[in-house]
Amino acid sequence: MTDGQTPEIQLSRKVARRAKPTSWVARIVLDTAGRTGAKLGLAWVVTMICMAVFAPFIANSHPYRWVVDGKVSYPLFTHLSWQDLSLLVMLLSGLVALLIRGLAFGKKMVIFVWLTGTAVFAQTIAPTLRLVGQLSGPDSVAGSDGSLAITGALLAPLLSFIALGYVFYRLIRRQAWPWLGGLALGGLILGLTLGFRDQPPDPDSVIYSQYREALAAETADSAVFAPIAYSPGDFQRDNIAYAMLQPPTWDHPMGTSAEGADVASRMLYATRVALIIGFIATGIALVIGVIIGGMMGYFSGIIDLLGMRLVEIFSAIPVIFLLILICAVYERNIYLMMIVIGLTGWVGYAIFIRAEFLKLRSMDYVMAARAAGTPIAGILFRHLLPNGVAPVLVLASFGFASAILFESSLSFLGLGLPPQDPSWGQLLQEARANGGGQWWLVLYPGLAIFLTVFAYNLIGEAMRDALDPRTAK
Amino acid sequence: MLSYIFRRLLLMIPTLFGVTVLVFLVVALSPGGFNSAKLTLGGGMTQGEDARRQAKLWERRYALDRPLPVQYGRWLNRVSPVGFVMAGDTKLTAKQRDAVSLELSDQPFVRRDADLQPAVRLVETIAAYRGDDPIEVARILKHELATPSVEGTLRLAALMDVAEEDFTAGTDALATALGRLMNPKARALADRRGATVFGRPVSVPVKPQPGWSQADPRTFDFMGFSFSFRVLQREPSLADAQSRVLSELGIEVGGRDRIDFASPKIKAPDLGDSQRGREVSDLILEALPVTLLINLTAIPIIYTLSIFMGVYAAKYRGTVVDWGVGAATVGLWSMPVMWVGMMLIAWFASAEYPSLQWFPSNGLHDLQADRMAFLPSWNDEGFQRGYMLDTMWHLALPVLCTVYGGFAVMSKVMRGAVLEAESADYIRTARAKGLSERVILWRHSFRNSLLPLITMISGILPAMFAGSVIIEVIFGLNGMGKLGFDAAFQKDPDVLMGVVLIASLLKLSAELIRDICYAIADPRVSYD
Repeated sequence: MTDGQTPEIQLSRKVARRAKPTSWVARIVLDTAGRTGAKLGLAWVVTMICMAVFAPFIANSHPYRWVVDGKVSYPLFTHLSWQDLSLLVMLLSGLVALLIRGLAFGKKMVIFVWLTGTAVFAQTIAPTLRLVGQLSGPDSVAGSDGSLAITGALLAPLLSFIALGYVFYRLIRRQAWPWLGGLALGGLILGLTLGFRDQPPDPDSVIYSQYREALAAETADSAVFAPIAYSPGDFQRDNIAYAMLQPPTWDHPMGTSAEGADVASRMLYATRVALIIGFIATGIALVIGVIIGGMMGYFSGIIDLLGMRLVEIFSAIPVIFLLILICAVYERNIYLMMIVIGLTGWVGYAIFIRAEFLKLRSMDYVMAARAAGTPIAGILFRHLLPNGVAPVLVLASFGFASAILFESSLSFLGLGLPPQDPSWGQLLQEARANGGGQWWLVLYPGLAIFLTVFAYNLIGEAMRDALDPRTAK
Repeated sequence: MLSYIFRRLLLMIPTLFGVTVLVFLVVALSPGGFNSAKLTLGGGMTQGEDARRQAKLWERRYALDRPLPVQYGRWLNRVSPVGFVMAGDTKLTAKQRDAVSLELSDQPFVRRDADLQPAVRLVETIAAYRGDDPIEVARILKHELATPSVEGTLRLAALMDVAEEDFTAGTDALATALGRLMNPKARALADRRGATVFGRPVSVPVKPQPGWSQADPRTFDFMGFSFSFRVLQREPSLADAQSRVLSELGIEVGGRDRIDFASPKIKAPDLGDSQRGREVSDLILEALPVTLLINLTAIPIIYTLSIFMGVYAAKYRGTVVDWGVGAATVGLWSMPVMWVGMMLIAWFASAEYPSLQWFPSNGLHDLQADRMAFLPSWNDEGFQRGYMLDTMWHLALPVLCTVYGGFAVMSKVMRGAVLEAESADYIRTARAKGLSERVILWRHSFRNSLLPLITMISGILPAMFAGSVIIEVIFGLNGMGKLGFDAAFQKDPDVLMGVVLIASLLKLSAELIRDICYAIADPRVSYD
């Protein structure tokens, strides 16, 4: 009864202070993360993410610091591509989103997508506009000093600023807005910096051997190199006769490939392909599967019948044959690969979601939502999906593994990524093409594929155990 | 039960239809489409007479000049076992062929077998066009060939060219062939009267000059001087000339592709020919047993292993054994098959690098396998392993590769099923009766937990089928996977589509058989 507070106020404060009841999915995720297998798997995935993001700082032909005639330059940093910087921003914004407290998962996702989008957008749009500006007239004021470039560099952060306005609008009365204000300012600065950055030269036209040659000729005063002083695209043209298919040495800790590239460097950069193929392909499959499966489960009847035929068609064709067929007749690139693996992999998700929705649609709370006049999208995505998505997450975890396996299988068969995109399967393929005796081309990439697939499978198994009432904690 | 099977079979029809649409569209919509194959021969097939002939052949085979739905319909008609007959597809039976050969080989007119074959083919085509009796056509042909007339020669030339696979067949070869076919008197007459086949003398082969040629010299007068020059001009299109002759003869160009919609009939499904000229169905019939051999050898091993692992994991639930089995199976399951295969080759098979060389690294049989006895034996030269052991020896590593990843899911399912059975009332009853744990485990819970394994067979069979692509490629076994893989590199659309179709068909049938087995094994399951 102190401070004139009534028991009711105290009670309501207590209720408000109590931890928010976590959703079923959140509980499953927490339970999963607590299991040993999942911890091991997550540890490897986090390691992979770090390797993918920091690859240019670990393996790079460009030195960190380069001194010629007393002139100091930092080639590694000026040669960072927009992918490198975007990945860095992705990691940072992911960490920011994780560390902010008191925000719902969806809003954290918005922050993540917004920051990453700003970085990618600023870096891809600005140089294009700058180029257009230069082409439109080198002497004109508008072109040469790049007012178009300024527009581009401004456009990206401004657009994302507007996008964030939505979040502001939704959150304005919550206590989180100082956070978001800071984030918005950060994003603005980020976009401006990245947009105005000098573009690195085209990696295909960079002469990687210039540093080694300068060092050999003793024209360079000093140089600080990355731990592995070779870029994945550095085929050591200066040393071509001795560079190919070298077993591991101190210089090349995992040997060299058939083209003279450093295997360790290629392995490091290949984590990007593995991660991205896994995420995007599974994402595409998940979205298609959830939409088709959800429709089948919720509407049933004729839609279900037609959907089941579609499911049967896609499950009748062995996926690897379909992938071989498509990769054989179309031009190969990483985007096609992701899309194709995604387009052929949605069947499992659709079946699971359909079963869940069939079960859930006759539940009382769905009836109530329908009776209250909730629009169909609201029922499907707000009421049914969060309650039916958990088993699909298990499948998605295995989906990551199988997407990576498919990619490396296709690359191994020579139907995968083009040679400029390093991938683990590609290194295995090189070993096969050269007789299979190069153990460093077999052991390391194979081990990497195994560890990654194993990690995702462990996470999947743990999640399945967490879902199973007989084994749940 | 029967009605259920019937219903399932009916439902398979739209599914198969969808599969064919998907497979066809993937190839048809790809850059280059069906013609992309000729780009793969190093560009060597992109120009010249052979390339044009090949392109024409493909255009005809897939009706590439028609709209996409028509193309699909024709392809479906070709691969379907029930369909309509295309006019040009009318093939002579062996008996008819013999009769026609006999009729034509009558002296004095055809003497060599090499000349006889084109003549028989010609008869086949004319019979297909006109719907006439082949023997009658052969008689007319003989008469035409024996009668010296320029018109007859022309007519024959046109027909002969139709009998070739396309309209761009070299006139040179045609003239030579015709000259050989005709009797000497007719040939002499045709020569004397200057008969030509599309501008070429009948009996004197001339090297064809495709494209530009020099026409007659032209002259014109200018201020009293006469100038003479030759004009380069395009040769008249062969196809134009032929279609003119054909229309005079009352034969519709492309009539060979006409489909007889009036009489659908059951025919042999035609999966087409590979680029090397072999029938796809033959290729698949050769490849399928190899894949099935690997997989059917592997399945019993997988089942045995997974049953034991699953049962023991369930029996020692929560102990180190359970945990170890779980970790080992997930680990094995995660090992990429190409990695394991290459490691096995490097350690146990490779001849190039220091390895144990216990197993062969390539192929299904030894080179001398055909001369081996089936069973192992001893003779003067010591132990002979025989055909069977030789095959097993060759299959050891591929089967190992197939097996190691297979039992992860199965042992997990088996473990779950045994655990579920353990909590059933009859197990408690059995325990209450005082039965020994061994009897309870193997006689009561094990037998009742076998059911889920039946469902697994349909899942595991196609999965292994797919997995065998890499295994077959690594170990050089000519199975379905290798066939599809090689076809992918040669961009051989007929083989690719054939392999995918057959694989899908196998998978669908495996699912049907699974459901039927399930109903037989479990009396509680009823589909009616």
